[in-house]
Amino acid sequence: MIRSPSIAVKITLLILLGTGIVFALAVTYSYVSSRKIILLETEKSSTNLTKGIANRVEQEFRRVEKVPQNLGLLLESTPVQKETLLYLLKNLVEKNPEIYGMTVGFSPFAFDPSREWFAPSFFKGKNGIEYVEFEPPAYNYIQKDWYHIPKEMKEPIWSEPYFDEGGGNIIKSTYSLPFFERDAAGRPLRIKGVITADVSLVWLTKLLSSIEIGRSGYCSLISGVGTFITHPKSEFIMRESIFSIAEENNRPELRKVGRSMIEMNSGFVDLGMSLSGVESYLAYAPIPSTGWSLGAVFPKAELFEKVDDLYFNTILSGVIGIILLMIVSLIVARSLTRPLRRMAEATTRVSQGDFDIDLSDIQSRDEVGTLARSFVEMTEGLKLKQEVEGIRAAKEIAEEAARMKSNFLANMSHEIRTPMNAIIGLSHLALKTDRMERMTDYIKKVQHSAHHLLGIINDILDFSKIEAGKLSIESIELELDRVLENVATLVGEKVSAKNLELVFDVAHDVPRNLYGDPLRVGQILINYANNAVKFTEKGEIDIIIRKQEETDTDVLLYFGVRDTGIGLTEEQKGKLFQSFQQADTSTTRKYGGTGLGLAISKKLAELMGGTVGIESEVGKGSTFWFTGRFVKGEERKSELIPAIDLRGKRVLVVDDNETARFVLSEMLGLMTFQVSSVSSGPAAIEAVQKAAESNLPYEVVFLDWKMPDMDGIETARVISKLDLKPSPHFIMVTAYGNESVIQEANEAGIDDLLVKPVSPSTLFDATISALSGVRVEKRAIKTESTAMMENLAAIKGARILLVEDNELNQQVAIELLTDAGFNTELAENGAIAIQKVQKSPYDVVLMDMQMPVMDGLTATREIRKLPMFSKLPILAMTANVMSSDREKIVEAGMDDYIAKPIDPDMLFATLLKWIPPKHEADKVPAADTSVLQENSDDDPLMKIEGLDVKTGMKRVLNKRSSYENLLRRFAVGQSEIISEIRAHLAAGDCESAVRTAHTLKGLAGTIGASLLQQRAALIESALKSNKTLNDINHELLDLQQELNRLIMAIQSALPVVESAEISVKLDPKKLTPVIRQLSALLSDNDAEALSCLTENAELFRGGLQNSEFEEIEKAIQDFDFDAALTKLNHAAARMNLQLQDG
Amino acid sequence: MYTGVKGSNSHLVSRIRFSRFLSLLTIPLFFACFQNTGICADKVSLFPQWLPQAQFAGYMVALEKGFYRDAGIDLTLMRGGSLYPALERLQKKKCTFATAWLSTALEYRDEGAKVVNIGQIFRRSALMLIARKSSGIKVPADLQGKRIGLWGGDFRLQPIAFFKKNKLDVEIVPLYETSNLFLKKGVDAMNAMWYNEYHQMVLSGIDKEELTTFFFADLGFNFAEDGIYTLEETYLKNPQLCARFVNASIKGWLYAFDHHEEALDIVMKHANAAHTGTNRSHQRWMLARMQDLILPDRNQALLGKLKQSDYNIVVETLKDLKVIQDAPAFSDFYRGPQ
Repeated sequence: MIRSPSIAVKITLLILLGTGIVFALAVTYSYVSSRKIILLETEKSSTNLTKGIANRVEQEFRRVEKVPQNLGLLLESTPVQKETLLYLLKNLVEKNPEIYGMTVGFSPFAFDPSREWFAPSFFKGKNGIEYVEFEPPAYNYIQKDWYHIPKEMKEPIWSEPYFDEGGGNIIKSTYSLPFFERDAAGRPLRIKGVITADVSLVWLTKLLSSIEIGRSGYCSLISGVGTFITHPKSEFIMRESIFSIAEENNRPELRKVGRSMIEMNSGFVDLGMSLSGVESYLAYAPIPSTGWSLGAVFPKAELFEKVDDLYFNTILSGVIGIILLMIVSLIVARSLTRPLRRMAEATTRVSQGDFDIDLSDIQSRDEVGTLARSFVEMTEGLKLKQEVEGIRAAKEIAEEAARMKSNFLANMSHEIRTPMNAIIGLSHLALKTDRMERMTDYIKKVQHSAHHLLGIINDILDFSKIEAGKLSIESIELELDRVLENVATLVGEKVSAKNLELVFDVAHDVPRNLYGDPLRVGQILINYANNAVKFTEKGEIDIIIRKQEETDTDVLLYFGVRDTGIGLTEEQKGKLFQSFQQADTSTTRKYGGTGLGLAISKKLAELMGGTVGIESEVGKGSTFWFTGRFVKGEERKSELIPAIDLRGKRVLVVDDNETARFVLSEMLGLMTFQVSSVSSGPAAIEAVQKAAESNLPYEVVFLDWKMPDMDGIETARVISKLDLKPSPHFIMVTAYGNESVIQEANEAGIDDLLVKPVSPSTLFDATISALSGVRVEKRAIKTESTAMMENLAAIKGARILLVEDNELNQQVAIELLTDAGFNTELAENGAIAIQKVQKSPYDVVLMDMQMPVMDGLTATREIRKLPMFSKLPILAMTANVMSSDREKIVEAGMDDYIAKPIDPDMLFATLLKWIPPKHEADKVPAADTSVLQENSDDDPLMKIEGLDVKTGMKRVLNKRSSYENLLRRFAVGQSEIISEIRAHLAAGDCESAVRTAHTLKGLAGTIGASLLQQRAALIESALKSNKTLNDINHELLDLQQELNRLIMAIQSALPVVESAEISVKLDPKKLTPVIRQLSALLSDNDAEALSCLTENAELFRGGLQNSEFEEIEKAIQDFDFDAALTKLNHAAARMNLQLQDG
Repeated sequence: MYTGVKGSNSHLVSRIRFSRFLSLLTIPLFFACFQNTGICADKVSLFPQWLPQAQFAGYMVALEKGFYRDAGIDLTLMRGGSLYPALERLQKKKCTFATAWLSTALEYRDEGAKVVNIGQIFRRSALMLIARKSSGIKVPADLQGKRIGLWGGDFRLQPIAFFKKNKLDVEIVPLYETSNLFLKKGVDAMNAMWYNEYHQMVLSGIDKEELTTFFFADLGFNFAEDGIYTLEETYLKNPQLCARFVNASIKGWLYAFDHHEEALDIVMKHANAAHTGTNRSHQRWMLARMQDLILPDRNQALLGKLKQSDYNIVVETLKDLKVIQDAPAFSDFYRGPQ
């Protein structure tokens, strides 16, 4: 593995590199400069040196030249005698040590006309000065260069140096001076002869060799043709020339130097390799007299020796310095980077997951120290982060698991819903068929079980919604009494089955009309109550409602379900309200349950802004409670205070259950009645008797139905038989009201039957009715579905396209719908649906979501693309009712949805919402409508400006009476509405103002007052955008004006009645024959039945309840005379009318 | 009649004699019978017409390499020089063989000396005129009126014949010892031997480009120069010896041409012994020129042979210049290889 060098090494290398470069540059520069300087200096000094020597040599030669010159002048000027000449000549040779010998070579006959040859010569011989005379032919001196050349040149010359072998083999040169016979002007006419002076060059050799040029430098003299006269290499002397050397060594540059020298230049050149084989410089200077040149050779090495030595030492010390620097910088760098290394090690450890690092020893205050401290901090951060990451990862895994679980649950509940749909639907249908009693029981149990299972599935779905954070709470109108009724319905049977008492204890100050989620409130209560029933073997279940807090707008309510069951330990309590948790496993086994209910309840309560709790003691029962915050609704104005003459009436409450007794007594007490209570039938009889005896009779006796020893009916009978004057009225309070009980109660002379839970208003109405002797409309035990069926009549015959692929579901839906009187057609998938809608008209399309070929969403989109179907109601049937699913549904263009499994009531309610009621109206015009149409000209309602009667009538299914009632209520209820808005605004309660305006808008729309609706909408939106009272005053005035005008118009068009029911007095004598007649007609399937009904409508309405009348009317219109007859008989039975003669 | 060699331009040339004796010591002191025949070698001597230099490299090499010995010849190579004309030495029987120019030999014959040519070594004349271009001489016509330095004797024959033939009126300045008068610009042109003075100029610092050269060989005067001569009587007495000598000499020349540096070593040995003051560079040039002169056409078949036409050119010129009255018949004169 190649490892990159450490930072310390890098720093060191960097320093070394830097230092090295600087050093190298400096050394190189100064070295080069030094060399340059030295070279310049050398050039200067060597040039000076050679010039100096050359001058000296030149002067020497000049001095020598003087001797022949002087003699020549003499010989030219004066005739000289031979003896004189010889004397002079000898003397000159003798006196001039540098002159080896002298000769005067006369031209033929020049010295003596009688003598052709005369050339005396003196030379320094072995025996002193020797004399010789040259004479041809032995020595033809005129043919010698020494004579011939000066003669021809007419000027003196120095000969090329030569070896005088005879004269001691020394180098000589001869100066030859011609002398002439001259004319008067001194111009030479004829040569007289040549004077020579032989000069030994020994002195010169000595001189030059004495000049030291360094250790190996030297001087060299070259002749006029480049021949070496002196040279350290003796073999060169007189033999080699600078040119021959140049040629021999093939060095043309040397030849150039030689040329420069022999051309009498001086200079300084880089000789390159010198003749002695060393790199050298050459300085040269001329010796003009002889034409020779003096060269001085400077070996470069020597020249730069000192510099080189200096620089060697410099470099050496530099290198040593750098090495020292390297060591020092390595040490320093290592000590500097030690913390870095430590940190690097630490980093490695951290990267391997070891966060326990200790860098506390790095104390320096510099960047490294800062880094170390930051690093330690960062590591701690990392450690924390890693831990957090771990936790987060675990959390994500857990969340993912939870999500998967939720999805699984959601999917599973969805999957289960499909078969559930079939079970519930089919059992529903089965129950409607003719069947044997036993089978009925079985199917009921099947249905019951299916509902139970559905409940569990709903719990699971709710729970998965909670897990997915998708559970939401609605805020719609919440009638507390309706909620409690529902609870009673669902729990009552179980309670009675276990012989437990179900008591509703609602504090009187609890507002009954609220905004909230009635289903969810009911769900919690039912859950609590079911639990309570499950764990209670004996005693009672109390449902307690209390007001905990109240503001202007909302209220915090406490809902408690108290039982007298097994109770819970502290430990068990702690575990409750957690998902999947139950009191303990043993109870789970014993009691079963999903363990989700309480967790769901808790979440729901929290969503309602409340909380949950439990108080319990083992063996003494538990109270499960929750709180929730609700927006207050419009409180009914009616005060439950009876008329003065009815106040203070004595009433008796008979109930074995103390709580129930107390609750009822409390309520009645608050209504100003004098309440007494007893706990059993016999006690009641006794009390009634006593009261009658003491002339303080009980006017109304409230009887619990189920009581030990003697039940309510029995008690009533006994008391009735006492035949007390006056006989008390009986009102029975029962948790369960079936037909047989009602029948029995009627027979026992019970005036009224109240179903638990009893709301104060119900109680009040019933009591007042009883006291006033008016038999108020009996509160029949009416199921939702029957009421629904009544309404459905309006849309009977509507054409419905069912788009569904599942055969079971097809069957369920088709039978349900057909049973309800709809024309249903089937499409197996979306693609078929698209074809079908285009072939024939439908009032509504029920669309399954998931189907082969084409799913519901796609099919809807495709249908919506067709322009004529843009308003065709398309309702989704889906098991996925989460908000995201709803969004998809809406997005695709669907209008509404029906949850699976299909709850028939929900289905019909939804259909009612979307199918316009025109079908029935078109086919069989309703009585009300015909009245309207017949009397349209003089109908006062039609004359009311700003009121669209037709639209308004549609809202109430074209029921004239309903519409009129609606108008009346509007006129009464809304007269003060503007003042209310103003009051809200004045109080700063904008929210309430908006709500009020909204209500007005809605009501105006309902009755068909479009202008009013518009103005109300204007106000609403203005208020929503936080406009102040001043801002909207004008609009408010407009609104008020329109409202007042409308109310006045309505009041003048319709006579004000206290109550429709009350206005028509029940007249059994008149009613009975009419009912009998109708009954007979119906029995005979006579179509006259309808005209009978309409002709005596006033009479019927006086006796029948509104719904009863309408149901009968519908049935007759549908020619369903059997159903009409049944209903009529029911109504007659309720009214105690004898339809049969006799 | 002799060419100067740089470094020997002393006017006291007589001093050379001292060393001549020295060189005599180098003559082999004994004669051995090296020949295959077993006959004792013929003692002969050769007198070259000038000082020891590459002009005589063939003889030196043949001697040194034993070619003469192999040919049954015991040769004494005598030291030539200016003091003793070679043919004079031959005439006086101071030597068996001598080298000389054809013109010189014809002059000796004309004066009665019975010298015969037994081998013509040079086949191209090396004599030339050199002039500085700076003196304005570019073509022969430019020589008109110039000062021309000429050596005496046979060296003058070709220039004068040339001037005469071309009717050039020049001022002839005699040269005796050296070329210094030309070097010192005392004359505009001078005659020179291609192998010697011409190169001396170069070695004196004058670049070849600075010189104008006229070769007489190219100007119609291709005189046969160095040849080997002996007395007619010597030839007649032992023509085989003469032929063997010539052949051995030719062998020496060929060896020298093939082994320049070895030959130069031998030449330098002789030159140094004679203190001629020459240098190897100059001798290398000279040896190279010998090849050009001896084998001008690289035709070995003509080696050592004198063509009658070449003979006739010299005879005619000499007669024209009235240097000789008459000339012997070619066959009488030339006894070399045919």
